[in-house]
Amino acid sequence: MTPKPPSPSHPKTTGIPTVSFRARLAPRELTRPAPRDYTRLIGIVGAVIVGSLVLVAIFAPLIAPYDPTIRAGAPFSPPSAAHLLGTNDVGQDILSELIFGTRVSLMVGVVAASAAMLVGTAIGLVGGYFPRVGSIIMRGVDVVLVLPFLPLLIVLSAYLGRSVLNTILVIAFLIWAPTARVIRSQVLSLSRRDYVTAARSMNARDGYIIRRHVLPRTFLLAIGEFVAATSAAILLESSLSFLGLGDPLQKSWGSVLYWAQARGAFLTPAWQWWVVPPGLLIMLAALGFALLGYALEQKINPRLRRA
Amino acid sequence: MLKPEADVRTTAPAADGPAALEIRDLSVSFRTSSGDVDAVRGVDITVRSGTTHAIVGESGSGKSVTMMGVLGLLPEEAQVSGSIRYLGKELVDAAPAELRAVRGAEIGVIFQDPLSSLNPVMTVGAQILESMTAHRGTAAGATWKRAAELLAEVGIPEAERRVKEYPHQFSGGMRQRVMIAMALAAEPRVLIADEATTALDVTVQAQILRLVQRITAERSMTTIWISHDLGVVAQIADDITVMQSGRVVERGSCHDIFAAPREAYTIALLESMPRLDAPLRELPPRATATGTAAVDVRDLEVAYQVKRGLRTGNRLVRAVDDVSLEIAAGETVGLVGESGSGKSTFARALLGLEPMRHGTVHLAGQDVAGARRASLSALRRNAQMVFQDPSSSMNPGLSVQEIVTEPLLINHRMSASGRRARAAELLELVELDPQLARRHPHQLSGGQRQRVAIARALSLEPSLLVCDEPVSALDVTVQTQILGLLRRLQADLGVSLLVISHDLAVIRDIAHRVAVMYLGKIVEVGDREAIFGSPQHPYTRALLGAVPTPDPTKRFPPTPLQGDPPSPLSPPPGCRFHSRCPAAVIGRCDTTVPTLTAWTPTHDVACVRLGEPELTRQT
Ligand SMILES: Nc1ncnc2c1ncn2[C@@H]1O[C@H](COP(=O)(O)OP(=O)(O)OP(=O)(O)O)[C@@H](O)[C@H]1O
Ligand code: SF4
Ligand SMILES: [Mg+2]
Repeated sequence: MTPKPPSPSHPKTTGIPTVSFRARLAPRELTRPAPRDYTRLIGIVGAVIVGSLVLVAIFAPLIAPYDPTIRAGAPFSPPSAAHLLGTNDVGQDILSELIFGTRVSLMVGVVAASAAMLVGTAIGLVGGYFPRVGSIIMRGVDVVLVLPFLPLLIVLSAYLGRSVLNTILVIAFLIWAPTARVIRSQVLSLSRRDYVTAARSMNARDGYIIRRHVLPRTFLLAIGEFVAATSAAILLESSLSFLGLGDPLQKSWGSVLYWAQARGAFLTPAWQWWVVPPGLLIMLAALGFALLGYALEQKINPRLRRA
Repeated sequence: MLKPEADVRTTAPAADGPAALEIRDLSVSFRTSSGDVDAVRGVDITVRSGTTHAIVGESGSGKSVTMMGVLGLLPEEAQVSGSIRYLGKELVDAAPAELRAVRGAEIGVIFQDPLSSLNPVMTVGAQILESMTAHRGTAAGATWKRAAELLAEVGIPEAERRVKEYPHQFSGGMRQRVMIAMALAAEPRVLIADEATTALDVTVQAQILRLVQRITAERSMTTIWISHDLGVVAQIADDITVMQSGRVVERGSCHDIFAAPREAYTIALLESMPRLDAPLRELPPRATATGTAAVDVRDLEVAYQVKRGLRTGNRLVRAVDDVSLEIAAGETVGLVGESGSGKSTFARALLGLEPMRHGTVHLAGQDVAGARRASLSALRRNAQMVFQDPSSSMNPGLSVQEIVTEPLLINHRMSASGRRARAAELLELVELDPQLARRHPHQLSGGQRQRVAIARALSLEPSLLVCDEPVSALDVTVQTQILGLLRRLQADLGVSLLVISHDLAVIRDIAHRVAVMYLGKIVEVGDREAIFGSPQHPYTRALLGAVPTPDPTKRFPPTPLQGDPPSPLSPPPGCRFHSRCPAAVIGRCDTTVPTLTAWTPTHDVACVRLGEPELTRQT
């Protein structure tokens, strides 16, 4: 049996801010100076990266010097004033490929993350609100969590065939589980609040309680999770495309890398303009979303917990 | 069993001893996003060496901030001015190293919540060792043997073995003892206790008070006792400083302040405190005995499955075991008992929030268990609940109006404008300004929030209001107002009340009838006059005896009830109280299960020795 926290008589509360003071001062924490809070900075950096990428994706036709599908120069040309990052094996402008690739990479990342979020939130909600069913469901979630990612990804997409939709489905299937966990623990704690008990004693049905008391406060959390999941989805999409399992008709950063690899660019000086830039972009995007997600979660989470 | 604390506090120490701590013109303000908050404004306090100095005041009065200042534990955003001298040494602006040398080594601290102050992943012994070495800077003498001695000194049985255990293996009272052992580890000369017994049951509180008195007397330590509880203060203090909104309003010897308080605020504090030795308060009359009872509970049993190890499997905790209780229309029944005795579980079962394993609950004559969904909803509306902590019982994202009318939204689907009008009515009913309807809970004071909670519970016009610790999160002056409101509502609306409280004085102020629970069973139930005037069950007597009297001339009798309540997982056989009962007779009490027996027509007691002359003499 876990010991119940003592409940009788507590420090009384009024509106005066000094009241919560004692509660926050556990002696252990006080002996050390608080670490500086970089959350804000991290959030700004993340937001700037994500924001720029989104702008690039939206205005790709305006920014890109060439249409990435046409032959714009001699094949395998090194960087020049006309082709800042050179051209590929069929003479397409690599810079333009990357700029247009931003659209595919972000789109797949965002859509896959949204799908994962929907599934994860729904499962987390059910799992947290109905603890009995929840403990069974969460066993399943645990299984998904320990699945070896990449092999499964490869097998699934090879089996399903190469299309954007399949890529999205496979990625979503792999990344919903952590979200389900986070959402579940939040729902679990929310649905044990006194105000939920109060609503129950007023004869509220589950649907009402979930809609009014649980979802609104879970939603914020899901936003942070969503941004972080996008980061994972972008990485997975790039891995798939790099392995040649992406949609052959859509150019993403990963598929640029795939062709660079297929045409031996890794072994020639071309790696500098054909391999490094897409690699950096993938890293940057993943980092940007991860930083933003972290900052959002830091901001949202303590507030939810305090409330 | 624990070593009984001897009655050590006999005479007050020398009147004009040297000052251990001198605080002069101390001010502390916090820079916050919404402007500066002056928490402490020009406070002077002199603590005489070798005495117990109590600092009392309501929440937000600056007691804790003052002491944090003494300890140099204020957060960075605090601005401190003035002077704090410990044995002549200035502590304000002292170098961190100097401060550390004083704190812990010279001054030990006990906090309110031992669980959050102890490290859950270290054995208690290791933590005691840590505080020995951390403050002295040397490991000399810091041995496990010494740690065990300290544990024994604070009254932990089998200290040799338990020194290797983790905090979660100790009960609340035991943990507070461990905290005291840690505070004593560096052999400080001053002990600061910040609401050290506030989270404890009265019985355990009495033990801890006695323990602190014994230890500080033995070691001739100076104690600074911060508390909002005047009863506790009257029991142990030599001097008192009364604080209000960051200022000292009155100071003096304990006897003087209780005998002849001078300031209006002190007088108000003393008067508003519910006390057991005050004359019984007039209550609204109960309805005549003939009508159907508002609540009729028979043989109720509520049990939880508790997961244990893989091999031992699940066990059953009978949180409420075979309880019967009736509440007449317009009557208030008070339910008292130590923490974990099943009071809240019982209340929740009444509202149909806990599955019953056994027994029946009738609300206004209708069977709760037998009701189908539709009529269950009608039944549920008959009984509403008010929770202990008004801040957690309301969704912080909703406005007061939405909170108050939530039950209407759920049940009647009254129109939005109808609800708005009803919200104003309800707020007026609980004596709140209807203008508050647009505010959010965090913009209200604790007392206002509890009024909102009561208004919400009343919105469906229930015949029963269940109040689980309705005033324990509130300051005494606010407590009095809320209790007055409940009495008035009962007189006006004729609603029945079930009031749960660990505070017997509160129950005495509001309940017509009182039921005493111990480990899931009702051990005594009767009219207020009977329970407080001539309690028969040894447990009731022990509870009453452990309540600190706010009168320094009437300090505790030498032996408060010993030990903690046993685990409800394996309640003692026979009479569940026999492991702690001073009147227990082995051979009878541990074999026979006592049942509630009428002692007088309005007073039932469950004790096998009921009526025996020795039992009567045990008082
Ligand atoms: N959900 C639960 N699962 C298992 N055990 C529980 C659960 N809720 C309560 N208990 C146990 O049931 C017993 C009675 O608990 P309850 O909360 O009714 O006590 P209480 O008298 O209200 O105490 P307090 O004064 O601390 O509020 C305790 O031993 C507690 O640990
Ligand atoms: S039955 Fe025995 S142990 Fe129980 S209360 Fe009575 S005297 Fe004490
Ligand atoms: Mg309770």
